[in-house]
Parts: sequence; C-alpha cells; structure tokens
Amino acid sequence: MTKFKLFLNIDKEEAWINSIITQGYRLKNVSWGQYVFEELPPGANVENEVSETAQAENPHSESRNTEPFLPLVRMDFRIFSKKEDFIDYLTLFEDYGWHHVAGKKSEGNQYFERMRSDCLEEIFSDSPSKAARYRRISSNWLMMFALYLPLFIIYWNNFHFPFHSGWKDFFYTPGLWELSGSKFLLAFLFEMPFALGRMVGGIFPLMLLVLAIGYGYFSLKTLYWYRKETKR
Amino acid sequence: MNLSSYLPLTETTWYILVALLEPGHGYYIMQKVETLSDGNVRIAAGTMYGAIENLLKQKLIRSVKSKDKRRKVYQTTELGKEVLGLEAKRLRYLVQVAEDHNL
Repeated sequence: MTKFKLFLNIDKEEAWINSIITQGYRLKNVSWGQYVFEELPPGANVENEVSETAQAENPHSESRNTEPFLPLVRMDFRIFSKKEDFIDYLTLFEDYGWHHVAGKKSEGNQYFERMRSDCLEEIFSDSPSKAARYRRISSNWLMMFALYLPLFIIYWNNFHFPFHSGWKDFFYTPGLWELSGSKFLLAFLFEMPFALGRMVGGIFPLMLLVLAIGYGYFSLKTLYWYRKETKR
Repeated sequence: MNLSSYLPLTETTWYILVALLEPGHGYYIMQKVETLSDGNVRIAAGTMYGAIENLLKQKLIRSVKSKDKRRKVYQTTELGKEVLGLEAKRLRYLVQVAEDHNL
C-alpha cells in the first residue's frame, strides 16, 4: 500500500513509519512523500526474508535465522558527494545489520530497516550523535535559503512588473485602450495570451521569495530542535 | 601544538583510538571496542560514522589503503597515539588519587 505524507521533523517521520510497521508491514520505498509499504503475512519469517534480500544484493553480509520480528526503520540524514563514500556508509550499516531501504546519495534522508533481531535496536548510541542529525538538516535548509534568496533578488531587480498600476499594463499594444468595438476585441484577444504570460512571469520571482522564506524557516525550526535535543 | 586541548577524551573516542592502533574498518572498530570495554561500550552505526568523521577531521585517525572496495579502513595517527599517551597519563593520575583515598 502507498501512503502520502509530508514531514518536517525527522523523529516524527521515523515514529510514524514504525507505527505502520508494527501493524505488520515492511517499508519498501520512499519517494517525494510517497511511502510504499508491503504487507507481511502474519507470523512471517521476516528476518530470514530480509536477510536474504540483503544477501542477494551483497554476498558479504551475515544472516541469522528464524524468529519472526519487526523490521523496524531508523532514519539518518547524510548527503554524499562521492559514490564510494556513500557505499562505504551503506556497507557500514549493513555490517551492523541495517539494510538500506530508500534514500539517494545526494538527497539526505536515508532509511534503514533492521535485518536481524540480534543487532542493536538503534543507530545512535548517544544523544549528541542523534541530535547532530538536526544540525545537518538545518545546514541543508540554510544552503537552499542561501541559494534562493539571491536568485529572488536577481530576478526582482531585472524584471519589473507594474503591480501597482493594475492588470492593464500587461498589455503592451500601444493605443489598445483607445480602440473600440471589434477592433478592440480583436487586439485584446490577440494579446491576451501574451499578457497572461507576462503576469505569470511576474509571479515567478515571488515564488522564489516564498521558497526562500520557507527554507529559512525550516532551517531555523530544525536548528531549534537541534538545540532542544542537545540541552538534554 | 597544544595537545592538551584534545583532553579529556570521551570514553567513545578513547576506545576508538585504542582500537585503531591496528588498522580496521567501522564494524571492526565496534567489535574491538565491545571486547576492550567488556561489553560496556557498544557504539551504534550512525554514532560510529559520525565519530570516525570527527576523528578524521581532528587528524587523530587517518584513512589507510583498503583491500576491500566497499569498506574504508582507518588507523590511529602519530598525533592520535600521542594524545592517547597523554590521556593515559591523565587517567593513571586520577586512578592514583582514587587509590590514595581508598576508593
């Protein structure tokens, strides 16, 4: 089954995913807010199956047998520039017994599912390292903000639009408004698509501003969560 | 170079630096640390990755050539060994103070 949900807080996302898993599902994929779960037959020997999948993908990982258990998911946030760094990271988790379910090299959210019942239940053994996730997320949002704000400023400065004058100014035909009757209608209809295009084009910089503000807000909110976690 | 700015080491850092006196990859470090600490210190995957990153930045460990294409291998640097030595000295002194007070 597929569920659509958007999260800003990574702990809440993790908790929600696991709330579905405890109902007898397994996470198969995550993409653009779409969470794909696979239903597990009751009493399924999940551990073996999970280990087998992982083993098919990497013959070097260990696997133990039997005992149905929950393939709980834990999330990390990491971005990689080199593929070999990403593989090293994924292999480390696999050695620990965590199979990488979803997450791209440069996108950040990494989803891991537990392969064996004997591996540690958490991927963070101390709170500073767990809190550091928020700091990385916050830096990422900040980078987006730092990218979009100058973009907005550039667009705003280069493309002026007469918002104050009203919608008529989007029509550039000289003398349009002095025409009458069918001549006016013809000229007006002819130019209308272009005028609409200019109007929409004017909205574009505002979209950039909205995005920039959004990213800035996300960055601060995540930074706040980071501070809160580290104060414990 | 003021080495004492590295001290005191956290327990995790101490164990990782000791474990990497011999070269090893991430999971090996976890196993070695668990053995060294008699099962008391078990570093989880995400924590381990972050710890390795930090130690690399501080130049206390370095990446060494690995036969395994999928796993990076690390080893404690000379600087790391020096810091370990200083920390050992500090700990021995603390132990001495404890013994002097019948603790």
